[in-house]
Amino acid sequence: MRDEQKLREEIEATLNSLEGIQRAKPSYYFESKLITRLENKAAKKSSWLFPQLAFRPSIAVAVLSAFVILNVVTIGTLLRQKSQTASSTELQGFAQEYNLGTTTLYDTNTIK
Amino acid sequence: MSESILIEALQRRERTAFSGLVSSYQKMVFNTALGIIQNKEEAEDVAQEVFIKVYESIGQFKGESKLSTWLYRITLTKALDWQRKKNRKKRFAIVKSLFGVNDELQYDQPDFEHPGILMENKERSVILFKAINMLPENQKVAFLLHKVEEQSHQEIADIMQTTVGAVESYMHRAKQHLRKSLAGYYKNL
Repeated sequence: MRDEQKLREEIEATLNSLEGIQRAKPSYYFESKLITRLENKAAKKSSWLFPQLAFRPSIAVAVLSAFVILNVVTIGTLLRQKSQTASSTELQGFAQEYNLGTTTLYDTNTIK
Repeated sequence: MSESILIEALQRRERTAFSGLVSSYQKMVFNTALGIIQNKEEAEDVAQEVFIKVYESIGQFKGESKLSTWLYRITLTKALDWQRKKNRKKRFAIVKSLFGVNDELQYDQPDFEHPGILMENKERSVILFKAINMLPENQKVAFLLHKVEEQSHQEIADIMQTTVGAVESYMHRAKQHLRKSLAGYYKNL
């Protein structure tokens, strides 16, 4: 019984042990360390500016669209050039087959 | 400097205003983090993270609550996140130790002596802080804000964004839990 009473008293004393507590102080260099940390963070941020921009959805979509448009234009130009080359080769073959390139007497205008 | 003038100066990114904020609130922020983390170096790290967060997000502060209330909220969020991370590491170390890699000891929380405790209460407060560490988060926050930061129930309710009734309930349950833990501790001595 006496032990129970003693236990209760000890528990209450422990529960009240925070009475009169003073606020703890951080270290003397707290503020200077904080400023250094902020400056480091700002420097890191500016050096990572490009990836940050690239991860913005609007910028990423614009870059992707420009890339697709450039590809489409390039492929279109190439295809057009190829078809032009093919048609001129066909014409040359036709001209060769019928000797259209050979100059005739009429062409040389030798009859007087 | 009044609070609204200080906030406006902070929003304009004035360095002297930030310095003034740190000088005025560093003890409050550090002491709150220390109560939860129970380690000076780690609490100082968290306190610095709090001021960095304030510097970065002061533009979002609408003045709907007191600046100190906002600072308490950021501190508690950061400190509790830190504590959760630490507990996860501790659990992971225990699991690792089961598979033979024994680094459990390095995560054991050493006895914590709060530097602001009266000399005659030091020994008992070490036991109390151990018991506080085992409380559920809401009860721990309410108890520490009341006992260590000497905040009223109304101020705690504002910080925790709840009602005074809820704070009283957290306090009541926290004391019940603590009495039970302390009884177990003293009986096993």
